[in-house]
Amino acid sequence: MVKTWQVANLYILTHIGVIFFLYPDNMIQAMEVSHWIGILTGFLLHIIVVWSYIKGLSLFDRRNVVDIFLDAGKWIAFLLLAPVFVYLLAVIVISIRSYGEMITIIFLSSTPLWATMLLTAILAAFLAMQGIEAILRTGLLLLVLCMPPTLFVLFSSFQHVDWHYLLPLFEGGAFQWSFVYNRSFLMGLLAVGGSFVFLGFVQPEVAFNQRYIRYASFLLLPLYGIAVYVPLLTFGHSTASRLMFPFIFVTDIVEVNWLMFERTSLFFTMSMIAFVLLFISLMLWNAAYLVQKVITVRTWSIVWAIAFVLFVICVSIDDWEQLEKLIWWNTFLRLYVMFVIPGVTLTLGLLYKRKGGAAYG
Amino acid sequence: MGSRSFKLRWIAVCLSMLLTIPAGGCWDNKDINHRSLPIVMGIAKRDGIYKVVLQVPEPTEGTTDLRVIEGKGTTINDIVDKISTNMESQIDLLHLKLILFEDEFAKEGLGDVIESFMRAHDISAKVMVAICDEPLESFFKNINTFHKNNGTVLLSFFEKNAGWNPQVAESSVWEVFRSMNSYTHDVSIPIIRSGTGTVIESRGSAIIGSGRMVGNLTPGETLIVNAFKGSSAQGKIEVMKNATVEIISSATVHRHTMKNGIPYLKSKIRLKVTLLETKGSPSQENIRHEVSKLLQSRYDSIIGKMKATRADILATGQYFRSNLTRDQLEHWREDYLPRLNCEVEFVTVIQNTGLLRDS
Amino acid sequence: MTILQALKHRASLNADIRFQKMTLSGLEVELTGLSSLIDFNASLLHIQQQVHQDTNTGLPLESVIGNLGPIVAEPTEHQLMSSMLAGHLILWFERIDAYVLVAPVSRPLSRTIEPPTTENVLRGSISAFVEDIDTNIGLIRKHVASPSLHVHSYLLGTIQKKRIVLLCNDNVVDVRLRDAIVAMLEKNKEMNIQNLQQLSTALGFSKWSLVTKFNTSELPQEAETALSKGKVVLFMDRMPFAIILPSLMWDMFAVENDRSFPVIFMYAIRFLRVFGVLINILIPGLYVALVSVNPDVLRIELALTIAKSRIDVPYPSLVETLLLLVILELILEASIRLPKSIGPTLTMVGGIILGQAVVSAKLVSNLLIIILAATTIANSAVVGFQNSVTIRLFKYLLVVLSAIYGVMGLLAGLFLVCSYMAGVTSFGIPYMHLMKPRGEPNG
Repeated sequence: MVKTWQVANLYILTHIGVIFFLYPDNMIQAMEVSHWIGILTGFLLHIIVVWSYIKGLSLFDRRNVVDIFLDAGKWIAFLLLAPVFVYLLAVIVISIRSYGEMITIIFLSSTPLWATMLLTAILAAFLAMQGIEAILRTGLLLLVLCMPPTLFVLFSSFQHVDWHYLLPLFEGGAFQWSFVYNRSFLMGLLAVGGSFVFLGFVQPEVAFNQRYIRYASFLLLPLYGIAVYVPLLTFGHSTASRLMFPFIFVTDIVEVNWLMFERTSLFFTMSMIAFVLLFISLMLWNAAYLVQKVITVRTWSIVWAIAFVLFVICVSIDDWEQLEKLIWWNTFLRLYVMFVIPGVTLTLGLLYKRKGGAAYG
Repeated sequence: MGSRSFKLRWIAVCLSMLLTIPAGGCWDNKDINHRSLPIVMGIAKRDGIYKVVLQVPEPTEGTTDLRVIEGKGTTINDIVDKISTNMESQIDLLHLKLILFEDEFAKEGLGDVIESFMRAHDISAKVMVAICDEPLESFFKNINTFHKNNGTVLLSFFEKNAGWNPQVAESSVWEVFRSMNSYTHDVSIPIIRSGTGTVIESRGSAIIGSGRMVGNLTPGETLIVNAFKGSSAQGKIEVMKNATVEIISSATVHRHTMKNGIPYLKSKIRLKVTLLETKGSPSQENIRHEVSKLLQSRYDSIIGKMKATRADILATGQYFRSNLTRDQLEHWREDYLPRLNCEVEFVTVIQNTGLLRDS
Repeated sequence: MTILQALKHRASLNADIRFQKMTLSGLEVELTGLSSLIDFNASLLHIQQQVHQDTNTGLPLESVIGNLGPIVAEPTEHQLMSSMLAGHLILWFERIDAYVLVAPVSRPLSRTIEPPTTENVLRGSISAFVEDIDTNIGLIRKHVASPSLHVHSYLLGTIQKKRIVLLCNDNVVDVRLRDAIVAMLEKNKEMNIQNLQQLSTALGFSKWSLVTKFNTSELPQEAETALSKGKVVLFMDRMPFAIILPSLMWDMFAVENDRSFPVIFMYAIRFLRVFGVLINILIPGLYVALVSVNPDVLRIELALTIAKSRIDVPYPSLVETLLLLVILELILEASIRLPKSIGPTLTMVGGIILGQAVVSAKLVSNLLIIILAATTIANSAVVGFQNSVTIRLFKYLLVVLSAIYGVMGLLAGLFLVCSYMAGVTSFGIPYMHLMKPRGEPNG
């Protein structure tokens, strides 16, 4: 079934979920001035990666990456996809762990971390076991429920903005792109290349029109911009770099007098967590899908199994430093997933087309 | 899916959900009536020992009583913790709205305290900050004799849609924190004391430079600061020799240039006023001139104070961000602020003369 | 012993089996039937007239008999009995030993068409379905005068036969859906179906589903819309409503009658229903979360007011909320059971108890009363009682989760509900689907 809108929606929502938490901090740590260059660089990377990926996919007639790679050879497919699997697991662990931590920091100061992580894991697994179509539809429901408060907070977050902080636009060595090797910048790629892999997994059950995904990817640019620039404009770089979750902090100081609630950040954080849950369950489903290609098991059992194992791993991560280490290790896998998988897909696609396979575009 | 597997799925979900409940559950569950929600915290530091005064509204049948609790200790959290153990309910700083520093403490430096407030997630960064220029004990005692059963009287004083007034500076914890970290942005925070007829008497505002109180502004000067920053000076009544006017609206335009390392800032503040009272019959031209002159002199005095204290409360440095490199900006306060060349032009428009025709 | 004698023997067990002898144009005839279903006098008159007419036109005897009704080919006692139970009159021609099934004049055992009792209509057709299945089909035919409307009849059950009629508009119906339903009905021919639960089993739905798989409506107008959208409508004998398959989430918010209003009002009304559902699901949980776990979210004034109203309330807000929620559910349930004349008493007692006494007795805070009143009212804004039950249940999930995790629990509950609803499908059609006549699904 063609579900372009649902796929595009899921693509956007899962990105929103990861953009607003760790990404602002990473970018602010990575650069002192002219953050827009970093943002644009990240965004261009994203565009290149995603576009070549979906271009490659579209050269085949509604097939997913796993099948495409399997055609190239069983062992090639295994070698190509095994890192992806590890990457997915690591991303899930990172997300569950970091968002669990954030939930305890923001809402539940005395609740033990394992409890919040358990909740996250259960919710994500519950959704993931129902399959990709349920995930897509949940995305739609969450769009309807969470988008109004999200937009409201996004707009109101400009309340304390001082536009002078935008300046200077060009300064220093930003154009030498030395920040590209900065650890923080690379860690920030989680928001850039975090969730796009799923686009290659949903077919043939769910088909989509690649053109609209490309349009949708442009929606991400303002989001990247807002996530980084609103804290910068509110606090200035020197203050913002001292904050753990800069964007969440900005939403925390927004004053809305006519609301019965004191903290508008609440709605925003809630919506973000909902999107992140969506993201985690999507990754979980992806991982389960890969397992199912190797051994035949029911979706629900493998999803719960993975979720349980990952939950145990999450619990065994003691502090934030270990987590940062994990994010750092995972960065290499992410670079692999960002460049090798789309690259191989595109190459295989072009070869396939030259051989005169199905002439679909 | 078969219905069997579906059933199994449900059982799995229900079981895992149920497991979380008896496993202790409800870690943060504490009913609101078992929490004490202080709304004002007064902090003083005497001989290296902190003194914390909390004003806690105590809801009782019908009315809300205000209770004032004091404690002493080496850190603020330690004091709050001590008070909490001694009280019948748990102290929750979540709803803290105002933090009052005794002026002596403010002069000594607020840096550490502000930073710990920012770090703690149970204190909102939106908490207002003010300086109290009388001993905290007498302040709270006087406050309590007024409005005994209105728990939120102190808040209304600072709230924009309630008792706030452009002569009162507004500053919250995060703004003070920003001024401590920023190169070009300082703040002024209000100075208050308990009043005789009204609850609170405004005493102008304090200039905070690098987390310390380094000077103070009169209420009239605070008004200019607010107008300069673009937050409106609406509703403020200005008394002059010959007339009293009410400011209806204000708008500000700035122009900045940098010549030979000397920053120049030209500002134009447009005020729309309405006539309230006149003595004799001064011409409109006269009144306009007088308003501009009055404000001009206040502005000059602010600039003088800024240069003297090296605290950029008008955030003038912000305008030169594109003219200076980051390293230069870092030394804005020392190198450039004292040399800042400021010109301001007040354009006064008498929008109307009230219900009377100008004679 | 003839079959008739056996039947007579049975009559001692069933007082309403009646036997009557008569002569029809010189033939000895015995009639049997259930006097509770058949108006005997009128039927006799009818048969006599018909036979008289036929003999006068000079038809041969076989044709006269044949005109009365079908002759039972190989009569057995069991077969005759079930024909009798289905409301037929049996004629036994003694001389040729033939059993003929005659369609008699039945007793009027059904209501006449009346306004609906569980659904209200503003500005729309107010005739509602009745127990008689043929009347219902007739009503639909009146509404949909289309040659593409097809009616398929099925008899299900072994001991008790139940007639189930499937209607669909072949031009627009989702063919996979129709074929799947037909296949399930054919497959489960032996199943006895007395209620919707059994029907749900027969159609192969899971027993544990939390959302209703059937949308039911008393209104022919609704059934008509469903048909035109490509859904399938089932009628069960003696059930005074149409069973619409599949039941979709949007059915919770939209009724056809909305279209009697200008478009803007229609959307406004539907938005109101969506809002109502959200309020209903969220508010009790929100109360628990804000009062017990995250009071920092509330404005200080509100926090103090709530704290004031909760002084002396002896138990945590979770218990408080659950307690009152259960009482409210009891009131709802009781007002369904009670005769209409006693109903108001219940409302009054409930109102007084909940509105005043509970608060002044310090058993619950008065804010909670307001919240639960809002919840109950919002609960009724949903279209269809079957849907409101679902929402009522989800509410509890959110309340419990909120007590543990505060606002985070509220979100978790909402997420669970969303993902559950997103996962539900019936016959391959997702619950969240927006039904369009045989188009590509878009929801």
